[in-house]
Amino acid sequence: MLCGVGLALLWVACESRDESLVVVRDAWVREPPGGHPIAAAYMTMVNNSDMATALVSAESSAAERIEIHSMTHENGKMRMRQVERVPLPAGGRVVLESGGLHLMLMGLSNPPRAGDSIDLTLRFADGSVRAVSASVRKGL
Amino acid sequence: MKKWASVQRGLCVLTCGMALLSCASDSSDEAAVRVEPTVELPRDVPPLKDYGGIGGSFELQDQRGEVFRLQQLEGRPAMLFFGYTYCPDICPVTLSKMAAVYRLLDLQPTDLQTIFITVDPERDTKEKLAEYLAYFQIGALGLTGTPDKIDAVVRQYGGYYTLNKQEESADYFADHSTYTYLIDQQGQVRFLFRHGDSPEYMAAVSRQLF
Repeated sequence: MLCGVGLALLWVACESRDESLVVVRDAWVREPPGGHPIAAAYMTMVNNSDMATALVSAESSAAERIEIHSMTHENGKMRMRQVERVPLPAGGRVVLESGGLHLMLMGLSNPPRAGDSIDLTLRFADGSVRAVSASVRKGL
Repeated sequence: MKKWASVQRGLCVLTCGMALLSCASDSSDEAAVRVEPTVELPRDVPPLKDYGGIGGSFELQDQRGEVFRLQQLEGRPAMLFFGYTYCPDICPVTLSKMAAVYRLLDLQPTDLQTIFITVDPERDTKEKLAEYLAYFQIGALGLTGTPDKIDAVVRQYGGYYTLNKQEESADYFADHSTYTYLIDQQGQVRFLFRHGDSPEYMAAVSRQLF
C-alpha cells in the first residue's frame, strides 16, 4: 500500500508524458530567511488539453494555507494582490516566477530548509487535482 | 588544441579580472579573491549620477538597538533598500543580489554597507531583523524606528510603501518601492538600481565607487 502511494507520488513528481490536463514542471520554494513561517512557491504549468482551465487553489500539509498572489511592478513600485484563479488557456503555459505570479505558503509548521521538499496539491477549475513535489532552494 | 587555447584564454581573463578587481577594491590586505571566475562584468554601464532631490542623512535604530546615523559610515559607501522581513519575494531576492555583488567585487561588509530599512516596524522587531539579515551573511544593518520616523526617511528618499492590513487576517503584505539606492562615500545617492537589474550589472555600476 505504502509502496503504491510512493509510486503514485513519484509518478506525479516526475510529470511524465501522460494525459494530464495540466503538467507542472520545475516547482520550487524559496528557503525563507530567518526561519520565517512564510515562503513563496514557483513553477511552470502547461495545459496540454484543448480546454481552457484555471488554477483555483492549492494546499499543502506543510502550510496552514496557500494563497495565489500576483505581482505587478511599475515605476519602481511593487504591488502584490491575492487572486482567485490563474487562467490556463487551452494549450497554454503559465509561469509562476519570482517577481510575478506565485503561491504564498503561510503558517509553515516547520520552516523549510534548502534540500527539503514540500508537497503541494493543486486544484483546477475542471475539478482535477495535481500533486506536486516542490524542492526548497536558496537564493534568487 | 582549441580546447587548450580556450583554457589559456580563460586563465588570462581570470587573471586580468582578478588583478583589476584587486585594484578596484583597493584593499591592502591579501584577502583571498572570491571572484566568480566565469563571470565577466558588463563594461557598458551608465556612469554614476547625482540625484540632488533625494537622499541625505537620517537617524534610526539598528537591530542591536543602537542609534544609527548615515554619517556614521564615515567615508564608506552603502546600498540602501526599503523592505520588510515578511516580504516573500522582492526582499530576499534583493538581498541575495546584494550578497552576489559582494562576491563579484570581492568586497567585505566593511567596504560597502548594506542598509535594510523596514517599512513594517510593528512586526519587524529588532530580533526579527537580526535573525532575517544574518541569513544573508553580508553584515547588513537592519534599521527601524517609529512609523513617523520611517515615513520621513521614505519621503526623503522618494520611496513609497503601503501596508495592506486585513481585518480578517493577521498576515498582511506591503506594496513598496523596490529601488536599491547606491550611496557614495559622502553620503550622496549616486545610482538607483531597479528590481530587475542583475547582480553583475549592480557590481559593475558599484565598482565605479572604488
